[in-house]
Amino acid sequence: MEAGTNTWSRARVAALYEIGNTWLHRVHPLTKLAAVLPLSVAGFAGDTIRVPAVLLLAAVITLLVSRLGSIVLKSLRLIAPMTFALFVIHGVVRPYPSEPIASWGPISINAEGLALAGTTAARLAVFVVAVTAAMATVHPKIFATALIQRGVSHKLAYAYLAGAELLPEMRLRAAQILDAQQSRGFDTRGSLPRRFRTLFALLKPLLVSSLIGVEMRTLALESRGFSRVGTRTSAAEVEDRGRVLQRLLLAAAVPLIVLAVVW
Amino acid sequence: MVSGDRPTEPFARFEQFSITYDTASTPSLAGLTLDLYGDQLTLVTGPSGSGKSTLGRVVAGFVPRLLGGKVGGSARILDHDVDAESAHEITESIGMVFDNPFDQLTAATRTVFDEAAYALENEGLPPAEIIARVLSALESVGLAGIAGQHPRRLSGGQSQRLAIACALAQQKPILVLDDPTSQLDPTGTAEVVSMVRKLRRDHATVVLIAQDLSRWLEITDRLVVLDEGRLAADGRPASLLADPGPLAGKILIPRYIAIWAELRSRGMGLGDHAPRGTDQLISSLQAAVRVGRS
Repeated sequence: MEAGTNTWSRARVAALYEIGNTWLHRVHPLTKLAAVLPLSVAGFAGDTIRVPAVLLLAAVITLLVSRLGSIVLKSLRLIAPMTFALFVIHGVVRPYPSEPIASWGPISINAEGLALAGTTAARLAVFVVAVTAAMATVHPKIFATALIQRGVSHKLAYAYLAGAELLPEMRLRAAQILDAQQSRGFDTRGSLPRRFRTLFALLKPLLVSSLIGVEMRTLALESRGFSRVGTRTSAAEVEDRGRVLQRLLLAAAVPLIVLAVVW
Repeated sequence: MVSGDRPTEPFARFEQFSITYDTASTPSLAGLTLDLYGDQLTLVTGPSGSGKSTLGRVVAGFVPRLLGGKVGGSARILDHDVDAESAHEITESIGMVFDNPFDQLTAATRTVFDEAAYALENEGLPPAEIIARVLSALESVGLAGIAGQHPRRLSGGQSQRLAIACALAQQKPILVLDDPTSQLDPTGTAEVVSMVRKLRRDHATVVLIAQDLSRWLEITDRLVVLDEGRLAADGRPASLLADPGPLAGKILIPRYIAIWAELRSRGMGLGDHAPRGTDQLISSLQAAVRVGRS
């Protein structure tokens, strides 16, 4: 069961992290995490689109100036389906008492709904851009090491790291099973019902192999001292700094909420 | 028992040891009495369901501690009772490489280096020592050149070598290899066999579990055959396989031994010790032909 090149290319890594050395890469990972809170909370606090729109604009300009346009694109990919759904639900499907601005038969577009969809989308966008910028500029291992340094359980840090690898891992496993099934003549192309049959044929072996894999992985982790009691270190040294700044950023959530509500 | 040179104290001692998993009705090991010694490659073989993998997992300290099961008799590994609180210390001293090359990786690392460093970080070693040990271990398994590569991009053979490197970095004195080539293609198999040969040259203690003996006999010091959880045979491969008849059905007799036994039964003077590889068979045949001519 070799991990052939074809299987690998189909199961490409879907990780968020981007290698780089911008000022944002150099900021302590927990400082970036601390900045996510006031930004997101302020985005959700106000009644109108003004605050989230300004925050979003500021974040996008900062990222573009910092040559981190790829993070904007990544965020856009995450937000786009949600935004589309919001505009369909609030702008088209949901009924409003006010007059529609346009209508085609049973479909009508309402200004009130569009405004609500726009505000909600902008709020979500602030949160997604902030989290993506924080996570895409820190190596998962550095982030986990920083968390452990501040007393977070190494088991929780493992869960974070394994979570980040889960999707590509499952993709690879599914691609291998699909390869095996296709090599035995199983046709995965064609009509929708046939594709559904393919999905069910894939799910059972995927589940079973994952469960078997869990037992082996548990033993392998145990063999590498996963349950060991005592101090842990990291080959990736992370300077423990920025505690004051991180507290200030967390505290900044309060005045930002007030500002967003008042504005 | 194997006669001849051997260290005085075994590192593993099984006395009438039985284990029945909670989910099974029959024991996986039944009344096993066996000693395992250091500085040897002990090859454990037998048919499917004979208890080979269970034996490996007991030696590695996983059974019954992590996988449960009803225990009878006693098993002591490195002076720890496998059924006692201190059994976790066995796991800290014995490395294990599993048959599936991919599921035994942590799935939480993004480079080969990080994968090999994971256990050392859990041990709390200083970063400089972690780096030195990992680089040395990766060097010895031939993976230093791809230390920055994602573990999922490795081939099966490379993954198995990485699993061995993880144990080497931990400086574990004993390695249990559970059918490490069973899921590999010929290239991956050759890589792992060559790696295990190197380990033996470096005097590592290896307990190797395998069904296909042919590629391992040359480096095997002792052969243990299990059948239905019981000890079916135990001895040096050359003498144990000199009469392979009684073992038929319990082990896969390598082709070169079957040929040797057949020629010997027809009166060809090929000596009393079974060959441990095709090369040895050819040498025996050449010697016999020379004697015949003279």
